[in-house]
Amino acid sequence: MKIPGLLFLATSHNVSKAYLSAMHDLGMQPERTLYIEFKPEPDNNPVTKVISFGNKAIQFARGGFHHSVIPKSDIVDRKSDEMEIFQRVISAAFQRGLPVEDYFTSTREILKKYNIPYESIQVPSLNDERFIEFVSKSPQTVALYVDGGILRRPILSTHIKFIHVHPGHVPDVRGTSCLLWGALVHNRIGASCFFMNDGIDKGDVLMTKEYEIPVISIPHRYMSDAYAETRYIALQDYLDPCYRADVIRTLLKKEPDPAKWCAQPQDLSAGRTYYHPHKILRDKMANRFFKGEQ
Amino acid sequence: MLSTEPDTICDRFVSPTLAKFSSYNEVLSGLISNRPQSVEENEIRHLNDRGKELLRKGEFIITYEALVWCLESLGVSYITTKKPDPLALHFTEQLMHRYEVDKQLAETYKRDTFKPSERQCYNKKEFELFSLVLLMAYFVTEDIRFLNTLLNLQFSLEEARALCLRIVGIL
Repeated sequence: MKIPGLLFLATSHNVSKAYLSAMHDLGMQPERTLYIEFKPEPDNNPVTKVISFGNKAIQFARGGFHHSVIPKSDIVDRKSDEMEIFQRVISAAFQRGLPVEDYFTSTREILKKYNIPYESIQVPSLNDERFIEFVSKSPQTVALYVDGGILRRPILSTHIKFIHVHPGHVPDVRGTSCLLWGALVHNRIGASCFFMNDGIDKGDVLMTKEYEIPVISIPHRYMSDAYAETRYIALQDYLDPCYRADVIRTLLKKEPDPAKWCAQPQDLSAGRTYYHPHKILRDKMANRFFKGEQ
Repeated sequence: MLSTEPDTICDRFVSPTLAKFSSYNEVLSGLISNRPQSVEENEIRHLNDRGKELLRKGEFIITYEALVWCLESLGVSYITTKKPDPLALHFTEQLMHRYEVDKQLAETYKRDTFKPSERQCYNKKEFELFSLVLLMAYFVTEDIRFLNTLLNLQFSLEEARALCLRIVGIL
C-alpha cells in the first residue's frame, strides 16, 4: 500500500533505512520517494531523474551520518571490534522489537530491495532554491524529513508540511543529541514526531513515545575509554534510527493516511533545549546504555 | 553578542555593582550549605575568593557588570528565598544560549575560535566569570546544561572547571 500524499526525503543516513524498514513492516511504501545527496556544489543539471532499479548504488556500503565524514580508507579498514559493538547495538534494538534495517547496505540498495522507485537530486541543503522548486511542484502534501539542517521559512512556506522524528520526548527534551540527554536527565529515552516549523523541535506533535533505557551487553574490553567514541557512534548511528522508526511505524499503524493525522501544539514554555554535549558528558551519557560482560 | 541584551537589565539592576560585594559571604554560605555531597567546603570558599578577586580587579564593561549581577542574583536570591531568581536564571540561560550558538556557528564553519568581531564581547575575564556564573547556576538549579557549557567554555576559571569535573564525575 502506498501512503497517500507522502513524499519521503531519503538520504544516506541510517534513519532513512530504518524508516524504510518501518514502512515495509506495515506493507507500506511512500507515495513518492526522493533520494537527496547533499553536495556543496550541485551538478550543472540538478533536474531530477527517475532511477531505474538496475542502477548501481554508487554510495559506499556503509551509509550513515558519521561514516560519511570518515575517510574511505578508514572505513575499509574498520576494525572488526567496532563492527561487533555496532552489531550488538543493532541486535539489542531487534530484540526489543524495534524496526531494524541492514545498515551496512546503502539506502539506494534498500530502496531497490523493497521495489521502491525513487528520483534523485543533488542540493547543498533543503533550503536550496532547486529543492524548493521541486517541492512546490510536488502533488504530495506531507514530506518525511530525515536530515538536511534547519528548514528556513521559504521551504516551510510551500504547501508541503514536513514531518520529523526527533530522538527526544518533547517538550521535555529538545535540541541536539537528545537520545543521550534524555538518558542522563530523565533516566528514560523518547522520540517525538511533529510537523516542522521555524522553531527548533517546537512543531505541533503527532506522536511521542517513551522507552526504558536499553542496557546493551558488550564484551568488557569494549567498555574502555579507547572505545568511547565507538560506543557513542553505535548509539547515534544504529540505535537512534530504530527508535525514530518505531514512532513512524506506530503513527502509520494508527493512521496510514497523513491527511487524517491530528497534531497537538506543544507547550512552548515547557522543557529545555540541549546543546552538543562535551565529550566528558557525552561519554558518561553513552555509558548508561552499555554494560560489560564478565 | 553578549553586550547588547544585558543593557536594560544592567540599567535596572546593576548600578551599585561594587557595593554588592559584601553579599558574597552570603552567597558562599548558601553554596556551602547546599553543595553536592562530594564538594568540600574549602573548595567553594576558595572559588568564591577567586571570584571576588576577579571582580575587584575587573575593568567593568557592560557585559561584565551584567555577569556580576547575574552571579549575585543567583546566589543571594537563593539564600533569601530558597528559590532561584527567575530573571537571573533567564539571563544566565540567555548567556549560555548565546555562547552555545556562537560556539556551534564556529564549529559549523570549521573555525576553532571566533572571528575578532565576534570576540570583542568575550575577553578572558568574562569567560572566567561566566564559568563561575554557570557553576553557581548549576548549584541553584541542578540543570546539567550549565555544567555542559562550563565544560565547553574557553578560558574558564581553572578552579571552577576542576569542580565541575568532580561534579560530573559523581553524576
